[in-house]
Amino acid sequence: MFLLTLIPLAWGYLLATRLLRESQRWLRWSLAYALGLLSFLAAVNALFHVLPLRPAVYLSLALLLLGSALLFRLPGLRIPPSPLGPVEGPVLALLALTAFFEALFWQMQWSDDDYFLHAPLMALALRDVFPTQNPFLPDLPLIGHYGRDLAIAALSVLFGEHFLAVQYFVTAANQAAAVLVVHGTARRFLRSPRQALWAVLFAFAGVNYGSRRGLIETFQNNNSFAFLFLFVSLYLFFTAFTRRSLTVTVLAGLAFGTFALIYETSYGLLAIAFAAFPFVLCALRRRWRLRYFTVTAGLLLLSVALALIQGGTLTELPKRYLAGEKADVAKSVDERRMTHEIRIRIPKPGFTITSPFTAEEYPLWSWRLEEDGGMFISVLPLTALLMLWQRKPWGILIAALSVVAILIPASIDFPGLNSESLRFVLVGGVGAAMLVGVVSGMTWEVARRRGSWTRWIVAVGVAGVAALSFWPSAKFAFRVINSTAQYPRDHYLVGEEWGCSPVQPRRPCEPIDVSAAVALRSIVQKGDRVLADFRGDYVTSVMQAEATFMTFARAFLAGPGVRTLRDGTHSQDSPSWEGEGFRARVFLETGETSVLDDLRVTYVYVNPEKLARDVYRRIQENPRLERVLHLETGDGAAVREAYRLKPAQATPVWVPPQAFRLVSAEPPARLESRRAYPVPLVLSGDVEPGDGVLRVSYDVRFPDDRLVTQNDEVRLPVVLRPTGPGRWTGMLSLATPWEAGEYNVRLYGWDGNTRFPLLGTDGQPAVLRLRVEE
Amino acid sequence: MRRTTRLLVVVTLLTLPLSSQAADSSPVELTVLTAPKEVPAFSSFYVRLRLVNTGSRPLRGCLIELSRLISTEPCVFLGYRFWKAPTRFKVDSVDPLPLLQHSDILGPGEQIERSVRLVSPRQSRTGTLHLYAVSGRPDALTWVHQSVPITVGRAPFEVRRREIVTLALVGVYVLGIAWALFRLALGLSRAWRRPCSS
Repeated sequence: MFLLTLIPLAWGYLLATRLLRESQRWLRWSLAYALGLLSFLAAVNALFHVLPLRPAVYLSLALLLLGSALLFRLPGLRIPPSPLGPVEGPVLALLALTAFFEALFWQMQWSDDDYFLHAPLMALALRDVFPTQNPFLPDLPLIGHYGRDLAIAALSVLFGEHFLAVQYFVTAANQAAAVLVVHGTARRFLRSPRQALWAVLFAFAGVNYGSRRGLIETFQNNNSFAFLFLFVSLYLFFTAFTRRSLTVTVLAGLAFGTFALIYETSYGLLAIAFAAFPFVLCALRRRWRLRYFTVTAGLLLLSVALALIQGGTLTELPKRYLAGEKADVAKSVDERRMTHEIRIRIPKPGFTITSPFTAEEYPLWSWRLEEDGGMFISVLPLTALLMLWQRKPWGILIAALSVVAILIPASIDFPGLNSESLRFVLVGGVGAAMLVGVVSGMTWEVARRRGSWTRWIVAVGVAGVAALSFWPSAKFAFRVINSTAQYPRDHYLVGEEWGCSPVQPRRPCEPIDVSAAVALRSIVQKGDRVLADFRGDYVTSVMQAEATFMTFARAFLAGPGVRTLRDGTHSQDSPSWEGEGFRARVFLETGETSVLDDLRVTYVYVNPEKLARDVYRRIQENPRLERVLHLETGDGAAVREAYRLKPAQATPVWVPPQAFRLVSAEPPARLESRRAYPVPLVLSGDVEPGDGVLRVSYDVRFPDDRLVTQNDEVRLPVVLRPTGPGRWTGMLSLATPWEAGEYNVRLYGWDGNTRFPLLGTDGQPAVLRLRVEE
Repeated sequence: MRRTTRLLVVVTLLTLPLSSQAADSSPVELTVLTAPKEVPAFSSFYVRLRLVNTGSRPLRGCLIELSRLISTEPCVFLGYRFWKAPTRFKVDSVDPLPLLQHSDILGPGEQIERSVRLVSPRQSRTGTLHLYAVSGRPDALTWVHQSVPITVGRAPFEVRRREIVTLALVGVYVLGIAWALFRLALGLSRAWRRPCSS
């Protein structure tokens, strides 16, 4: 089946040779790969709107095969391929090989940076979940780019659905292809192999920003796709710009539009740079050519038209803008962080960039910008002016892209998402580094024409800058390769062997959890939600464990909480999740199943050893919970069980709450975080409840009235027992928050689907004040 | 007599680090309930343990970050080490594992039984697995030791397969780099010769 991947490759190759008429052999093959992958993604995405994933994949392949047959009829290239120079070729091979294997080996050990989100998304795509939903909070959609995850998931259909291994190889191939595409494009449009070589070297190995050392190390998450297709878009734009071909312009427009599905921020930056480019070029040449504008406008219009209908951010954004506030999915800033819904406000107050990891604002002249985007940003004005002076179109476009990438996060406010500034600043940093590479090549070329002393001085200077710039990324690449050679057993291609295998004291998951998830995969259906018990002390590690479970079970999770953050901007490291919310905590601490209905749970996955004995017994004996999985290790040391939640047979008779007053609610004197406690309620009222049950809910708030977690109101049945005339008592399970502190708990009663505040004897809404200790 | 006294002094000095921190005054009791005698290399296995809080204060699970204990209250964790017992009793001398979550409390007189997952070393060998229940306040930890004789056998098939596949990929990379370096050397030597010949 994997041989079918040759179809997109052949299609890409035919596009590169017959339509784009690319003469550079290395560039031709890298374009074949990139355009094949992009076309495959575009076709699968279009068909996935109406078909399940697997038929969409096969139909896409059939369409690409048909397209290849049509392209094959076009005349081939007659000009001989232009070979790489004797130094250029090996240097490029060194860089591309290292880019490929560094990405491959790193992923074989660590999988991904944001594995917790991307891996479940790919797994759920294989369950035909489309459009994407937040795997942790399935009530919320995930509005944003999904091209990378869909491309990998779709491709994995041809590789036995081993999507993690496919991810490792595709990411690695993207890195190598990006090296060749950057070099080939720069070589063609700078018309200098030397400048092109320096540009690619500085982009991949020379720029040190944030915690990354060059593009060679920037392959995690969407990055390898984002940068590869950014460079492919640049190549296609220049090709369309220089060739008078409608077909090439259409191809460039469609490819660029598909890029919006992969990374909308880079797409937006490129679109602005493309739109500005003909103006700058015509102003420089003092000659206005209509063709420059028609090609650019045609390409942009086509791409925007595609971006508006294909799905992702740019499809959702105008839809909701036109529909006004009513179309908002998220009801709060915190939820918006989860759905990735974008709000835009222009201009951003203060004209500052938000630091991604501290959320501090800094001005454009701050050293922080060099820290986030690399030191070459500081010379960007100079290198950009040099490109204008030298009239190098490739350099001018890269300079425009870099400048736009730095100005956008300073001038546009993205409420709640400002700390994503790195997405822009990285592009600015890479562009600035490429320009420094071009300047280095130009300097070297000038020096070559001078005397031998000048040549030596320049050679030493350029070599010194290069050595200093390349050293960190060379060191890191060596470390990755060396660690792989030293510890080959720690490098996995089979996801099931990797999941939860290394013992990490913080991460509460074990290989038996992966085995259980794999076993559950055939039991759970599309849309099922599993409440899984991975309680632990560290939120990030809990999320990693939950993500691993979801990835292998290919199911949604139920129960995590969305934390409410204080107003304002928050860093990317702000803890915005909780492994289990209040409702999940009530179930895991008491075995009470009514909270599961509100969470729309269909399966419960537990480690019996983690549960209190009486809770485990309640779960086992509950007629609504049917055990569907019991897994244990050979020696019986570890046990995991999964239960299916059957629908409730009878709805209890709910007593209307309006007639009751809360006399007292006494939580225990000492409350600890992350627990659930029985709280006796004493109520008064004139109504005779008979066998009825009062439906009580509560939410937990900070003293300033903010909710602790969003959409996590705990609704429980309280069976009333008479204690005297007009007096009743019942028991409520009160879950405590994750952290110690002072909290207010508001109580409500339910009459049907209508919520009423539960009133105290003074007629005011009942509020419990809690002090939770560590 | 003098010799015996000297020997006693030496023995006392040698055992001082251990006895000063542990054993009799320890607020916990650790018992190994079940443990495998033989395990394959680089694989998961479980040891079942019983932990009793024999002290007078409740214990929680310890919070450990980057080999540093960050809990401020009395807590407990499991430390383990294969083959050689640590000579210094510090958190970073052993691999730490949680026996309890930080939110869990083991009251005085209470006990828990837990299966703890460990991963066997990479190399085959016979020796001792050292287990420690480390408890108390961060500034005064006590270590309770249990040793388990264990044989680590050959790595299972999937581990060996993984090793071969990874090393083969490293080999491909090294060959590719060697080829590129060879071509680069050739290219540079040609470029070096060219100005001389002209």
